[in-house]
Amino acid sequence: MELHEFSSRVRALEKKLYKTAVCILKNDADAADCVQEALLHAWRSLTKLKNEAHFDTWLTRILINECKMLIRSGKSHRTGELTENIPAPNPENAEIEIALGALEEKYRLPIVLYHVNGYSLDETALILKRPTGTVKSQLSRGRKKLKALLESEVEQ
Amino acid sequence: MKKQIEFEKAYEPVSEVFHKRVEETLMALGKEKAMKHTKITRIWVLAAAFVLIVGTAFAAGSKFGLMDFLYQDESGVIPLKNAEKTIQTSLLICEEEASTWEIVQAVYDGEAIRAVVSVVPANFEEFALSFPISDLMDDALVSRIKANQEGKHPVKVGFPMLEPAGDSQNVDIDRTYIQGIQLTDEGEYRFYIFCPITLRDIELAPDELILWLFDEQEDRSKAAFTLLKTESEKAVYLNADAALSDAAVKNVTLTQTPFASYLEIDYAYARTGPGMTLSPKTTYYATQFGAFLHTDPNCSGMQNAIALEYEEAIKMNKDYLCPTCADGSTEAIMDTTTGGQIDFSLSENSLAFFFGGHETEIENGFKKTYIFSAAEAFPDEITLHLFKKGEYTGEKLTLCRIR
Repeated sequence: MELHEFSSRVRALEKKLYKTAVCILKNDADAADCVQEALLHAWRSLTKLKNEAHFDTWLTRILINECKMLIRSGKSHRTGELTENIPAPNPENAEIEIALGALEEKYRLPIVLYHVNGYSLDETALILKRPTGTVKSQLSRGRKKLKALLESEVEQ
Repeated sequence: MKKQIEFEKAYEPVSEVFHKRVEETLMALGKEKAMKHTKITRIWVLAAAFVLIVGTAFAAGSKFGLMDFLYQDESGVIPLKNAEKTIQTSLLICEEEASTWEIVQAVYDGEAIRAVVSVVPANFEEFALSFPISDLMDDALVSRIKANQEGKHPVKVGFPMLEPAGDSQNVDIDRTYIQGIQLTDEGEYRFYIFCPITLRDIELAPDELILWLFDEQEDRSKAAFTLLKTESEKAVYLNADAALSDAAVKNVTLTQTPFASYLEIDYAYARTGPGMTLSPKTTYYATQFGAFLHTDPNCSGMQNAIALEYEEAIKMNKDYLCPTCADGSTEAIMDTTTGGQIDFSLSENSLAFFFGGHETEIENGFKKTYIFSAAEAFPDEITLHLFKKGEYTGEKLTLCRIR
């Protein structure tokens, strides 16, 4: 894959990459750092991508690993609460983002990949390296928790 | 009527910071040198390191060396008793108009570089070095830095970085971790830096490294120096084939360096399961970039397929058997640069986290992977726990030391 095509595919995927990174890291600065590392890593490892049809899921997987490495290293700006480093959600989207933010990552990430980013169940399972059945049940439980959170926000 | 969850609105729009970084990275990708310099801005400054300065009373003139930083940081590294003897000293002095840079101590054990870099202003009474202040720095350190700068002319410098040079360009240094900073009363900064290395296309770590010292602020190297590899010891736990349900394992070796240890495991995915049962008696066909292994060389109009015997077919590492001619399913076994479906850990509770994280292809479908640990001595036996798709399978392999 030449650089031109790589760049084109990355740009087409940018929105999904952003949403994936921010849902894990919860701030733009870390998301930007991780996407840079992920793109570098992906470009250098392109020969290991056996099937270009898997590019999107492959790059997403690399990005998720970069995000998790950042959190594990303790260098993330992530906190449990909103701080001045973490931008407040767009008022139009506040409801869904706050509710997603309150979910545990094991539910939040599959929901973002499947419902927000539009990956299929198989693709989501491949990205997360989990069995399809596990992803299905995480999606189901995640949706239930999300609905409960959204309904309690409305009541408030 | 139930309100639909508007998933598509989540995390909209893409932030300008993120978008800009994507564009900058793509623009820089074609230029390897420029890309390395872009990486320079990605120094990791570890919050735990700054406990070195807080509340630590040290006399003027008492300057931290590598062992002082090691014993005070929280990385869990337990060096061997002879570790201190392996440290190389006074490797480089670079005198510039406004500051002097020195590699005071360094050690390279085949896995990582650890170094103490000193940066001193030319005249500490009039000038103070001005490094970027990170949000992760401890408040006490930040106060000390600011107090040191008060009333003095600032000399803007960047954090020290190391980059492979010359014949050492087969080695990658992906990140420089600043794990400790000391600021003395004379305005000298001492940085404890840690750089895990990864190897490109070579099996053994080189006996010496040639490295550039970079100032992260500037876009050029200062000077080069050579660092020799310390001796390490190996213990072998397995040198024949062992089988787990989803993996074949051979050659498990633990290497103990003076500062750390790492476990090498040669493994391959077991080629069983609905998608990928290969027969030693069958000739397969594939094209270089195709996703499938076929049993029919002209399947679906395929052209220029090459014939593969069993071992060669495994080595091709295709994701699928063709559902048309080879009774394959579309269940994919996806490989990623991070190890694919199978991982090993020394603990059943979690996957081991390892710096460098390198995995290399070796032969006949086998890969070599590494687990990093801070073990101080060679154990008589080790237990590998098998993880599949991130979940512990319950399977383990206990190996006794052979030699």
